[in-house]
Amino acid sequence: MLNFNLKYLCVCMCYMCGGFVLWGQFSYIWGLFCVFVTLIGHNKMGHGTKAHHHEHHHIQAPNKEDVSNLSEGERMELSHSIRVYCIILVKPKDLGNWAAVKETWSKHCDKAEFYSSENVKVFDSVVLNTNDMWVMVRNAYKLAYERYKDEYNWFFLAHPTTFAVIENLKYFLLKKDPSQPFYIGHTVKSGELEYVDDDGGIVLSIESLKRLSKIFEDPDKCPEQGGLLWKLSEDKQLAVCLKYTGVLAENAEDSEGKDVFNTKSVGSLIKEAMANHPQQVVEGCCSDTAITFNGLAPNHMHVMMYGVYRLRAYGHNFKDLPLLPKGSLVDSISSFNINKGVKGKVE
Amino acid sequence: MEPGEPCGTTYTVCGGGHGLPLTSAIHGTLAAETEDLLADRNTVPGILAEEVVAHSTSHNILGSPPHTPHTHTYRTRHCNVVLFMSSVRDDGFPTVGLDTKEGRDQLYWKTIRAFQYVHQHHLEQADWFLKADDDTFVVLDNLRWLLANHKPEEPVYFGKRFKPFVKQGYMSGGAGYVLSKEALRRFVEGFRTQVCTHTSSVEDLELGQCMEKMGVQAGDSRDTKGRETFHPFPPERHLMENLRLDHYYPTYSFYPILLGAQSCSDLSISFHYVSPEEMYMLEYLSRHLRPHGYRPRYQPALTARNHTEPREG
Repeated sequence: MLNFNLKYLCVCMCYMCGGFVLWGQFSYIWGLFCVFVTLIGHNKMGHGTKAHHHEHHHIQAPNKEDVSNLSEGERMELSHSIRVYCIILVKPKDLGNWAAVKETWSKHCDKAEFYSSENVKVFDSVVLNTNDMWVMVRNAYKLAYERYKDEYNWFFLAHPTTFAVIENLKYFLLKKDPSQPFYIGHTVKSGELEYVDDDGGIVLSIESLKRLSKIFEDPDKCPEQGGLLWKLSEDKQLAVCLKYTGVLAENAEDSEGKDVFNTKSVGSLIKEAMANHPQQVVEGCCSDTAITFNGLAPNHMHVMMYGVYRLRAYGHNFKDLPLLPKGSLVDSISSFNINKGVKGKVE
Repeated sequence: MEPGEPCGTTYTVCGGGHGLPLTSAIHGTLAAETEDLLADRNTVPGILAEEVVAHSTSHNILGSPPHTPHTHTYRTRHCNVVLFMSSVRDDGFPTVGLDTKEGRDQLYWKTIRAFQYVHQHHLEQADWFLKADDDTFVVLDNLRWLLANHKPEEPVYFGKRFKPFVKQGYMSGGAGYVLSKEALRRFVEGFRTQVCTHTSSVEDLELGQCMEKMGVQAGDSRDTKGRETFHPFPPERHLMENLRLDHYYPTYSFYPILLGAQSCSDLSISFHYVSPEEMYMLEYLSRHLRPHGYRPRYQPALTARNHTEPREG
């Protein structure tokens, strides 16, 4: 909205200045100039009042002090109020990963649903009847908003190669107001466009999802397909649509500036750390409050579940504050069955 | 059973404030860790570090040099004293030569020599003596939790218990095993009196036979839910495979094989055949990354022990 007003203000100023300065035959040249500026201004959308020379947008996890200052009651209330709905986009070829996600981290979402390109006998899913990833993203968000806008306030979208620690997502969102337009993840800059890389997972607040649903109805700004000569990847396309609504991508970081959404697996990040800073591999690699990793095979997801939720050093004091109320523990033990004679693979 | 070719075994002496020769890097990390542990007496690791001082020796079984520096960096942070045993003195890496020959058939002899060395030089510095390979990932705090229920004067040793060949079973070499002070004394005594002899090259089996002859008990290292803590394979194999169908494993495993999530205790102590990358990853997962606000289901108590004798040095 502010864009619109500012443009016209500039145009008016332009004419007025021109009118004062130039009198007579030059005023119409000035008039043309002002029209030209208006047209240029129209194409450069989305900058609005934000300082558009700021390269990246960063968003941080809450401070330890912020959290420890809360009373027990406030903490309970906060953790109850963060309700995360998970969208996992799947295709039949992803069956192994689909099964692994279903059996592991997705159980920690308040609700998780699998949105599939086509119907699959083995698993329930919301069938989208398209193979086009952008169309899948659009329709999944549309359906999620329509059905769950009153029940969940945060929406997390992932692929079946992504592993997520939902508790750390909730911790990250602890002091963030979902009625504000948040669009969070691992961001990438592509020219002028900063977008969330969907390999690391995408988080939208209910406000962002609301705005997104509206802009879906605008085929000029947010076409379903074929709107552009070249095809953008679905995560870039999403960023373009959101930008029209004034929602900008923010890169999520912990208090030390480490990314919490990762587009690579722990193994890959460890290998990089071994090459780049061999004296500080674990310290330098990844955040203690990491939310996602990507590129995991099904077996690795089960190993991650064990490593994250069960394996620990006895007495290692994590000075943590309990966020989950007693009795609401989600069973972290993967409930898969090992088929007789088959090495734990689901094909 | 010890698959894999041993080649160089590396022996390094380092210790925090025990008057031993040190390399500066090791001293920095080790001293900090031990002091942190001892200073924080209200936490379990602090208490355990006072009473139970783990001393580990490690054999470079798979032999490739890239392994050892990573194990070295990791292990020195958690052991009270760390020794890397080698047949070869390597100037680029702190080692002590054992004066043995190379090769798989030498492995048991190296183990004997290593323990004799430790017995001679380090007996008073520790209560328990851990032997592991440089591709064994070990969670020392969980080892301390296991040992908190036992006294170093007990003739006992713990590890992944195998059943064949030895009546009371024996411990897998690769998964790592830990001897009480009394067990180490008896092991060395066994060789001195020739009750134990070097009859074969199968290190863990031979050690197990010696332990039985010397009256050292093969302990049960499972957690309070019956889940194993020492593991002869990396986590993925235990968690994801049906090892009941493996050719050898059912013959060897002393206790019933549990599957899936039950195969590994929350407080696992070791995994074997762990690559350097995986070692860092397991360190990250067990000590760094955690789900905020999540309380794990398994919350065993540390059984209190009455400890009347004053501890020395």
